[in-house]
Amino acid sequence: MTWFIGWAFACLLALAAIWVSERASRLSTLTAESARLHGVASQRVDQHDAHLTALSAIAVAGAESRPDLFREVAGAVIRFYPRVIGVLLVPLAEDRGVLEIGVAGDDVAGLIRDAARRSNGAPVLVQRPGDTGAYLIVKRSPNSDAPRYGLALVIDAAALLDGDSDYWGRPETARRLSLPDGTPLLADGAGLAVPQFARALSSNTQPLLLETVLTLTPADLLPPGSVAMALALITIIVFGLRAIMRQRAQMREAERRAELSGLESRLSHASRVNALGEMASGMAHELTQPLTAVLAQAQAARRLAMRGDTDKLAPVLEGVIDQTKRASAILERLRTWTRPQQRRPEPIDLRDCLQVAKTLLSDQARAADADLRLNVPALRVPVVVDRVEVEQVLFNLIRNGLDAVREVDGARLVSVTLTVDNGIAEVEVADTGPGIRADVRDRIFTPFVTTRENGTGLGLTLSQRLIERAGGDLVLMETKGGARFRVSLPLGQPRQAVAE
Amino acid sequence: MSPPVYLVDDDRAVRDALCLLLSTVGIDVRSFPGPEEFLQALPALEPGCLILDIRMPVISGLKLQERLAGSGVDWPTVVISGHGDIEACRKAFRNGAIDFLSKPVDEQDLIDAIQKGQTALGKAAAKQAEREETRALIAGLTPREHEVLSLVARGFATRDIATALAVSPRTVESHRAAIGAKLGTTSPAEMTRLWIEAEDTP
Repeated sequence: MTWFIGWAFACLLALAAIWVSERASRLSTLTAESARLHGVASQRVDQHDAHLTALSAIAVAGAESRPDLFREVAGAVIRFYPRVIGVLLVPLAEDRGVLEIGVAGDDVAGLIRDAARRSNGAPVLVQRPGDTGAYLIVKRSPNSDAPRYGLALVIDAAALLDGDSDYWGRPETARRLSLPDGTPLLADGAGLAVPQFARALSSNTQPLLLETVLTLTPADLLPPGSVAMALALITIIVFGLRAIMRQRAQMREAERRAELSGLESRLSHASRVNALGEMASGMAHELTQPLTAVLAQAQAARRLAMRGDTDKLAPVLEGVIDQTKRASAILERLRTWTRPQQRRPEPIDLRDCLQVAKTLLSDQARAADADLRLNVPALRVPVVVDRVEVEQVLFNLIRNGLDAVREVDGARLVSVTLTVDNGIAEVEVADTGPGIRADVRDRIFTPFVTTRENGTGLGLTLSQRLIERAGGDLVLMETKGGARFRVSLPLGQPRQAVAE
Repeated sequence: MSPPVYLVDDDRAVRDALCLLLSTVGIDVRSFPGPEEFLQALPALEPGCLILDIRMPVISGLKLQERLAGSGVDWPTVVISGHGDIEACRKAFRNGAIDFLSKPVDEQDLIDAIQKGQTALGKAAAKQAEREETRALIAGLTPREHEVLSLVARGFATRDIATALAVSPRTVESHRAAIGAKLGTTSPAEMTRLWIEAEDTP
């Protein structure tokens, strides 16, 4: 989101920059073009003065006698200077004929006479009647207080401004040329209210006002090409920055993880070391019990023997033997733990394992005043596992359940349900005890995590390890009350066991 | 007859073996598989020496010790443990254990501990018997003699007692003589001791 806002902001900035620079550049072009036009037009109007002077001289010299000469010179002027569309020589005496070259002079003869009489020496500018795009430069001839003619050049304003540049042909540009008195001669467009360039032509005789304007539309100021390029550039930069930032964040994350995993591996090493110590401690405690019994029995036997009470010796020694066997069974389990490769998978009926576990725990169930229920399918549930290991796991889970319901006020129920689904045998062991505390739920299979005051925290860890080794899964299920563990084991036939 | 021994251990083999051993020594021993069973039987038991395993499910030996102390049972207790756990040991002694033994328990250590317990129990019993006897003697006094004795025990002389009770010194003297005959002593100090012993009962 932040990135999008940043991107949008940068785009807006870029558009604004393009707008401003494009506008400045267009305006400066306009100014330059206008100045050039101004220069050309000024030069051209100056030439008009020269033509007038020349034509006036010819007229004075003999327009009456040699009208053909005047016509020839005027014709040449018109031919070479296309903006001069006509030359008129109007005698101030009204009975004399008008000499007209290029244009008809009847309608303007009066106008020219007036202007010539009015003139104080400087040429007079008037708009051509009936043709707003042209003007007349009227000069008295000779240029004295006793003029005989009014000499006029008819100038086409459009031709005056005509040039080689196609700049003024563009739709966004507009020009206006007007007589010094404000009479407009030429106006390209309507949008010329506020000219951006306004300058009178540099001529003493014809200071025509040249105005130009540039009408800019958003499309002109934001040329699609530049805009597309700028936006593409910004997008690339923003995405690039973002990618760089992300990469750096990822690198930091990776560093952090590496640090954590270093910690974890140290921790797991520590817990392995701890596990050995803990296991040794657990084993020591378990071995203590039979040893205590053996010692007491042996000492009792010694007393009986010393007393000569030999009849009572046999059962005592029987006890010694039993307890010694118990101690060696504990050691055997220690070996199973330390040498896991020695397991022997065999095809068995999972229902039998449950039955064994139930039988072993029936005393404890009675002691806890708990109801231990076994639900198994009617058909055989074949799995290929190490029988002792699986029995051990089921025994552990059920015993945990019985422990959990021991101090429950309401129903004390441990239900064990065996189901077969899609090639998987599932045993669910559920109890109505207080359940697993939320703070240990996630770590319940971690070594030394226990909810029992005197638990070693290894039972579930070991159980999970055994079941996973058998190709199965032991998980804690989500429940509302009590705890529910599920053991999944793949159904199997003897042959698959060999393949495994 | 020495006082009985009560053994509480959740391991049947250990329980049976220790019972056998103690019975061969001639000790009257009774065992319980857990603290609950013992607590259930407790009201009907005569005072004896307790042997508690420290590590038992539900209620540990230490907790049982605390619970017994809380209910006024101060029988000598020997705690046995599979762990040589110093913290548990300290706790057991703080709870009033007379001994703390590590499993496997050697017979001599166990017997010594039990004897120590029984001796303590015997002393307590003798003291209790003596107190009972004194109380019986004091109970034999008439209300008036009882009153006189209480004043004697507080250190008052015959004349003061006569004034306090508004009787003649002679009458007080005859009461004192009767008290002396009943308690078997004429010494005011001894009378005071008996009086305190009889009064000092729970």
